[in-house]
Amino acid sequence: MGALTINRKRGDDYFKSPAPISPSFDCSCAHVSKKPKLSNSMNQNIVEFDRPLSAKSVNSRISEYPDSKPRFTREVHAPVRTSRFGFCASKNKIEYSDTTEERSASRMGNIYGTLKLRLEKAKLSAIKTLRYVGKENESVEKENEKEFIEIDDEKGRQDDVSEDLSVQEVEIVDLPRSKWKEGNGVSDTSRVNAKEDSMENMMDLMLLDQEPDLSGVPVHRKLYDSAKKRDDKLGNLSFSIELQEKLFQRLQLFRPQKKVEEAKKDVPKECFMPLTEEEEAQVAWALSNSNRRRILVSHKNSNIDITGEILQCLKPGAWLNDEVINLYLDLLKEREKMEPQKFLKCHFFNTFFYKKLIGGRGGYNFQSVRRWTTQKKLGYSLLECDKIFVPIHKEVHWCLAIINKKDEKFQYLDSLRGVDAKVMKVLAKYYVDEVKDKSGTDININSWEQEYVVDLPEQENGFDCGMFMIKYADFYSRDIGLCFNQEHMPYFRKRTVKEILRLKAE
Amino acid sequence: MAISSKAKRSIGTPNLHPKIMLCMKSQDGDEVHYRVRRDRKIQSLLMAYCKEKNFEYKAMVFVYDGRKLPVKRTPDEIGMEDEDCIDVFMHQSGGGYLASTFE
Repeated sequence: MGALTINRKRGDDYFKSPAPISPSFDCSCAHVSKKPKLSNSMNQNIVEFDRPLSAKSVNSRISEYPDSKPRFTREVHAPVRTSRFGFCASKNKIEYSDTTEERSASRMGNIYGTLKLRLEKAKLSAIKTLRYVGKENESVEKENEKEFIEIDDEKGRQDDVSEDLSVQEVEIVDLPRSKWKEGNGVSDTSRVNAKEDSMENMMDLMLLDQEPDLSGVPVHRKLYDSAKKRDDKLGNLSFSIELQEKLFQRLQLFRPQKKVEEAKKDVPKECFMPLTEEEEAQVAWALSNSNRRRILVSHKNSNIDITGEILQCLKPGAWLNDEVINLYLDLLKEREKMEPQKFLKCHFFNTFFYKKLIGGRGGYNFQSVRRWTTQKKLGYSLLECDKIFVPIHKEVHWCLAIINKKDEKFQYLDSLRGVDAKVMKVLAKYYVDEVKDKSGTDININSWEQEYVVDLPEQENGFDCGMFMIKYADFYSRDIGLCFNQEHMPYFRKRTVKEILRLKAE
Repeated sequence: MAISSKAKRSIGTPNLHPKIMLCMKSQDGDEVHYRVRRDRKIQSLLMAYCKEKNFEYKAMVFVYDGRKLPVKRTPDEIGMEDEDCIDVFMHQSGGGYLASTFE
């Protein structure tokens, strides 16, 4: 408790003190501080009422900064000396400045002041050249100071002044040194509270040192100017960006326009025919949980029995399974058989074909699928087909590859825009082998293009790829553009349910 | 290849009934041969195969010459011949995202 009250008392003192200084400052002053800065602040505290005067003096001093600045920059690099001697020196300083030298300086006026300036300069240069000696001779002995000056003489820089200096140094040993340490200007010596001034001066210097540089332009100004220089460039760039974007837009206008026109011309309404209420109800019933176990529909040709459970995969957000895909592809084939004039002649492999083809040793086994495409089995020749659709199953993803005999190219459609060179390679090889096996002729597919279709409707989620895949097949077998997108998927899911229930693709 | 023992074990009835040799090919390249009666539902063979291989019957798809096998039919009805192969696949499903990270 006692300690607490003492603290509180001290705290009160802070508030009572005329100048609001940060407590940390004052606190350290209470101890025996060796830092001149702190002692200065203490002094500042005492002579606070002189502040306006000193503040005014700052203005007058500013004109002299170019001279005194180098001194300061040098002194900053020797804080050890300051701390070792600054404290006691500054204590002495008040007395001295009051009495001898600085008073006289004020009396003698300008001439003396300028002389003194030169003297200071000379001293500084001397000390600069003799940095190490100076450090060693930091004691307050007169002889040492003299040595300094003698060396200075030897240098022969300022003969007359140095003579003068030696006399002066004998008189006041400490004062000039301490002043250098503070980085003080010489003309300020006339102040009574020289120390306070020196402190302030230093602060000013520090402040000024940051801003005005050698060229006299503030740093922020410089930065601003240099930044401004880039304005032109930025303007140019943004303009060219704009230009490019507009060009791009114009180019894009050309591309889809064609396609949309084509698509609009060709896409029959039936592609997006909305479901009737009755159909909607039927779909909802088929997807209901009560039908999970029941076989809703059986497809004879493909031997696929669709139960409610299998159909669940056509619910929004579910992954499509192989049964639904294979059945739908079979329905697409049946659709084509019914109306051959309306659709391209296509063959749809099931989802197991590619897996079988790349199964076995070497990653390619034609023999294992050779019998899949006999005329007897298919009822038509694979080689007559304009397009051969090959669903690709990759672990958790559905893609579609197409052997496009009509346009003589291999196409790969991935709703996630993936690419797979292996699929292309395998299918090319397969087609060559297939042609050779079934017709006995060699075909050259070197000229066939391998196209990764890029301007295709893309999947925007993690579950619709199967739906995209069968719709790519649907639209391509109609030989129309892929004029649908993610938004249509919920509709396509329902529509697929309906088509499967009726075993008829429309 | 342990043909005879397994075949005999699965259907061990008299020689009056003609038999057919069938080969089951699983995805891992494994082949198993069976001798089965021509006039019996193929399903019994498939189930026996799954039991032996520790597959879940419902999770498998049996494909014969590119078509899903009508499991309720007999080899005769399907028109199978000696040494024909049945491909065994797992059911597939897929939705998207994970694949793109795997690729």
